[in-house]
Amino acid sequence: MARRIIVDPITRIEGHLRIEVEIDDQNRVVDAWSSATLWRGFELILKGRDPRDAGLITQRFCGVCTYSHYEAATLAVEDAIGVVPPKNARLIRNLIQGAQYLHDKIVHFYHLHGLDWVDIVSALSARPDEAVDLARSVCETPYNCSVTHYEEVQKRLTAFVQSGRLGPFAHAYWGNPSYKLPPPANLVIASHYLDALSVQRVAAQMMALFGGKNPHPQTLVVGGVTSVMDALNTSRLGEYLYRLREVKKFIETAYLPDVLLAARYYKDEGIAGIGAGVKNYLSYGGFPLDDQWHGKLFPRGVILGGNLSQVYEIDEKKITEEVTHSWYEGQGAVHPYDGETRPNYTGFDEQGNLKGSEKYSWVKAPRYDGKPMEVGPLARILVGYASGDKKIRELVDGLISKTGLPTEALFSTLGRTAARCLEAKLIADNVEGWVLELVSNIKAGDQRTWTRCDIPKSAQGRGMTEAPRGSLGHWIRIENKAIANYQAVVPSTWNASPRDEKGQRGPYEEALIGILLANPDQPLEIIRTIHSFDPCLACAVH
Amino acid sequence: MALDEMFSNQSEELRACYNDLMKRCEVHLDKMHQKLPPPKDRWNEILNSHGVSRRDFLKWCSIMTAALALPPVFTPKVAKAAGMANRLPVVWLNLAECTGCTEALLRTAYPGIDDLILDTLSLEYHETLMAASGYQAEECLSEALEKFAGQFVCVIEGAIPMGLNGKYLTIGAKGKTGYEIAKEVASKAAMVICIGSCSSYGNIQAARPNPTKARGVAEALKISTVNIAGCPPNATNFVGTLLHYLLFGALPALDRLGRPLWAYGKRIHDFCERRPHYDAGEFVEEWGDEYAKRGFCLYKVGCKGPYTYANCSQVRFNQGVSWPVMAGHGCIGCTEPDFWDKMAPLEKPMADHAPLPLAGVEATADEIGLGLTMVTLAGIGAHALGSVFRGVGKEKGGEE
Amino acid sequence: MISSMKKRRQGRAKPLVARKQWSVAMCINHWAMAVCIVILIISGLYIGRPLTIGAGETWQKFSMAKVRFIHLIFGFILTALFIWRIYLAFFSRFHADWKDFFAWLDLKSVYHQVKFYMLITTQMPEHTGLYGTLQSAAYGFLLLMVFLVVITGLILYAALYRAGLGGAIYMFSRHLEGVFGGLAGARLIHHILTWGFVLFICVHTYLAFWYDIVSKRGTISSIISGRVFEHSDI
Ligand code: HEM
Ligand code: HEM
Ligand code: NFV
Ligand code: SF4
Ligand code: SF4
Ligand code: F3S
Ligand SMILES: [Mg+2]
Repeated sequence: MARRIIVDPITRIEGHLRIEVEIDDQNRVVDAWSSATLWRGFELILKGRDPRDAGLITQRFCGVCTYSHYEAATLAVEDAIGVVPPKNARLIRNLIQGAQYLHDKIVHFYHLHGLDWVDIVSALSARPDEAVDLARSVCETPYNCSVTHYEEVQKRLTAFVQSGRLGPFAHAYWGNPSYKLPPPANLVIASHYLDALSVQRVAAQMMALFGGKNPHPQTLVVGGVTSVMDALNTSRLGEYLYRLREVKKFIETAYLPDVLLAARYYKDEGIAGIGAGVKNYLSYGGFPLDDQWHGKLFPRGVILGGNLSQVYEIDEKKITEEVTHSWYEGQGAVHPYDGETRPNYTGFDEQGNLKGSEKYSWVKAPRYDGKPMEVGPLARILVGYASGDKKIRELVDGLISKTGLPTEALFSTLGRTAARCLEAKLIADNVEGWVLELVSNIKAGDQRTWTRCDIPKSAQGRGMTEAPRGSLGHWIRIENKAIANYQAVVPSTWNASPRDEKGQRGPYEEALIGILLANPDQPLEIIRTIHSFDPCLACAVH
Repeated sequence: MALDEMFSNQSEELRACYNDLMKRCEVHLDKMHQKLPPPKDRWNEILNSHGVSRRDFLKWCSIMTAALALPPVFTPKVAKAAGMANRLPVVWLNLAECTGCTEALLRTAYPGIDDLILDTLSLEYHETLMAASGYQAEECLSEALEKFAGQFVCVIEGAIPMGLNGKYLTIGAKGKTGYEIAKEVASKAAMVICIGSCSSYGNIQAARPNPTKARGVAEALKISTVNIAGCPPNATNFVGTLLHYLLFGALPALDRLGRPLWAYGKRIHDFCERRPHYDAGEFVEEWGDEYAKRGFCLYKVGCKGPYTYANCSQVRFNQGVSWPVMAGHGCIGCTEPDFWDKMAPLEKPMADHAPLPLAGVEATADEIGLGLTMVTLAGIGAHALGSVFRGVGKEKGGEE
Repeated sequence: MISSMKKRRQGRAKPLVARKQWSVAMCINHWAMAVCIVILIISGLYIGRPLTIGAGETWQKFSMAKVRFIHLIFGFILTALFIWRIYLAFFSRFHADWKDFFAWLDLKSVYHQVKFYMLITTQMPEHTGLYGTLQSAAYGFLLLMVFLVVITGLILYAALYRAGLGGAIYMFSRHLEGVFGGLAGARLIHHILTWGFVLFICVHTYLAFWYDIVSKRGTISSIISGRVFEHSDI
């Protein structure tokens, strides 16, 4: 007898996500539905407005990846106009986006995803000296690592537990057999959980230095950036670098080693490919490296069916969205330029479950060439790896040799989480170069941060970029100098997608199939796999 | 008593007023001390473990005291309240929003006291941060409502969609609407703090044409709330409001839009570092021009600082690292109701405001005004000619 | 007064007689208002779109502040004039009664008047009061505009200067701010009204001349001298 499990709200994500699964007698997931339960209607709100306002508005899709929408909208309008921002603007944008990546990945691994891997209660019983040894086994100079420090952490955690007021840690799944880390590992990562609270603030400040504030920076404009004074101010650049080094140190001596620890103890799950999902991967390419904006730090491409021997070039015409199972009116798969957003809510069935065979989510179903695609860190790393990108190959090979995992183990929940960390390292390694490039360009006398441009009477354009959670595209049509149509297909739209016309599941749904629950009343494994995508539902629906 | 000394030069009235306030504060702090559940972690130990000295802490307290417009004698009370903040149960609801406000609070000063207060807040329910999901999460909420009824602070992030009977937002296995949840939780709370412009006034989802009929909490639930406006707001404004509640058990003085006056009493423009340039008539003409490099005023590229009440220009963001005007982009008025519509286009001065349904059709007030003037002048010309032609005004005797 | 007006329409080729139409107060008020409004329009539009003065040291320049200062001075003069005008409407012994602003309630006459202005009929309608029906509506509306511009202006002023007078005004204006949708709303309405005044001046001045020519009663000079000329029975 199949049994239905509803997990709503899925917490430790951005937004309102509901997951329903059906499990068989062995508690194995046999079917799954992913549903977003909030719609705000941005695509309708944007209509009729000045295209230059689109960036600041779409930024409010999400308070986590704020900058990405700001950038995508700006790129879309720039594409419509045909204007290319100057070199300094490109570099400053990269610096802001870089800061966002670093911030986002740290917060995700520790504060949003960490408790799926780490049993805080088990950390209380660890021996601090063992924890020190363990930390040293994955890193020469581990972050904030000493017996006294670990004791301190344990003391704080114990006081917390003894107060009887667990607050945000109450009713968690402590002790669930799916937690596989030994106590010392739990203690090491738990201590970094606390450290990360501070480090992420530093990363946020990096964004604010050129962005004006974080979240929701306010410095991008169609044609460039506005923070020219900050760019020309060497001490400002120094402040950025100083913070970058602090964050980088954390990534190298805490985040990366912690992922190695997780990989050590959850190795089997990686090898078994648990949580792999659709195995189609898409990356639009991100972080432009040259002034033609062609070369990208993250290469662009498509991988199908987990076949790493072939990377396809993206044909933008093959990107479509459809709403067969989404709470909208409309028929067939259409390209975003022609997309529309007409809500048509049909609610739950009599039992209060999702109407899985009808409409059941506010997320639309994006498809590439008719196929559901996973986007995000794993997709980027795989596309980079498969296209032979030197830096990415090095990182992946390093991970593989350190963990002893086969490359295929990347197709899993664990792989997704590890890929995110590799990416953080990649960004941390490259940001400094952009700062220096900026300095030397300004020294050479180029102070331009904006290219003059005006909104055309009618035009269309798209902005494609890589947000922390994956490939992000905004499509805009301008008529009478105002926005006539606006469609965003967001990373979490791809990943949280419901089924399509053909009944193909979206990536979250597919990734859950086959997962074994240790205790169906504690959906830890479901949450772990869903979290590995880093869901952002405000993004997905908008 | 210190108070008396302090106000010996002041009017009797003021002294009496502060005496009164101090008494109220003492009574309330005691009451809170009795009533609030025990802390998870002792405040002094938290300070210690973060390497914050007693002196630093007191310095922060005196800054907050001044910020809250209290005389310095209140500093020890503020310290006491701050130490109690981690005992105050908080239920945090995320409704129709972007989570930017949560993010903003997670990213406050470092290393600072605000962040310690926020880190150690007793969050009984907060979907973005809590470990439990699904049924277990809902259990946390119902437990908190029961255990801390009438005691907890309800913080709401996000607007309430009222269209479709509230169904644009449902949370939990039972599919309760955001409206239902907010109503229930707010009714049991000691006070409701709206964090951000979404819960305060509806914000972006309520921008024209407001497809989901999103409303601010006060309007939707017909209750009064403290509105920490901003998109996102400055964390200091939130912490200050919490302290005020702990000190007096009451809301700070609010403006007509529910914003604490101590934080939202002045406009961005009034304390802006570019203000001298405004008065001198020195404006940035386009992004990145020579004037932008010299830090001229952003008025002509759309800064809405003159119409926006908030303290960004004083406290800035991310521990004073920057704020929008410092980054060379004008203020967009994010602490004001309906700013997306009222201040649009955001990168044009108010004189270029385009009434929204017509936006982009080059329909700013000046353009329409000038157009109408032309038409009027043409009409006058025609009328004058017509008059001559019809011979109006010719001496017609009796007819006149 | 009304009977005298009726009478004056009856005769034919009767001698022209000067008749006092406006009090001196009314004349002064009118022209002071006119001057203020013109200055306010110019300075106001400048405030909306100031010129950038790039040369020179910041601390030596004060151009925006000066224009705003001028605007405020004349704004307050206009405020005073408005209050005075209202006072006159209710308490003046001369012809400027508040009732005169409601002549347009006589809709039949409005119809006739429109036809006259539209040049459909050349027959000049009769005035039953001080103003023609359309005039009454126009002047009434105009005073309403002055009222609104003063209110929104004061709201903007109070937000600028929270001390002294500004602070005192703020006690009231903070409640009004909401009515206009915050400072931005008040500013926008203030700005739109500016164009209302521009339009008004065009039409008002033209019609003043036109009416003068048509009626031959010296309307233009009347608002200066206070007298109209009419054909007398005597
Ligand atoms: C016929 C009368 C008036 C006209 C045509 C007028 C016109 C204007 C205009 C066009 C602006 C600029 C608005 C913009 O584009 O953003 C302005 C601003 C302003 N006006 Fe007036 N105004 C008038 C009367 C008044 C009065 C009576 C006051 C009040 C005492 C006043 C106070 C102000 C203030 C305080 C500002 C804002 C200045 C600033 O932000 O620095 N105005 N006015
Ligand atoms: C050519 C000359 C003008 C003539 C003959 C004229 C005549 C008049 C008359 C007869 C009234 C009604 C008086 C009253 O009941 O108050 C009036 C009202 C008014 N006029 Fe004029 N006007 C002239 C030019 C202007 C100009 C240039 C302005 C403004 C810039 C102006 C502004 C006003 C205002 C604001 C009112 C209404 C206020 C009020 O009723 O006191 N006028 N005008
Ligand atoms: N999905 C998503 Fe975002 C990201 N990263 C998107 O563009 O988080 Ni809110
Ligand atoms: S107020 Fe702004 S930052 Fe806060 S939730 Fe709303 S949209 Fe996000
Ligand atoms: S930049 Fe904005 S807030 Fe600052 S002085 Fe200029 S208009 Fe005012
Ligand atoms: S846009 Fe908002 S953040 Fe402050 S400077 Fe303006 S109120
Ligand atoms: Mg979309």
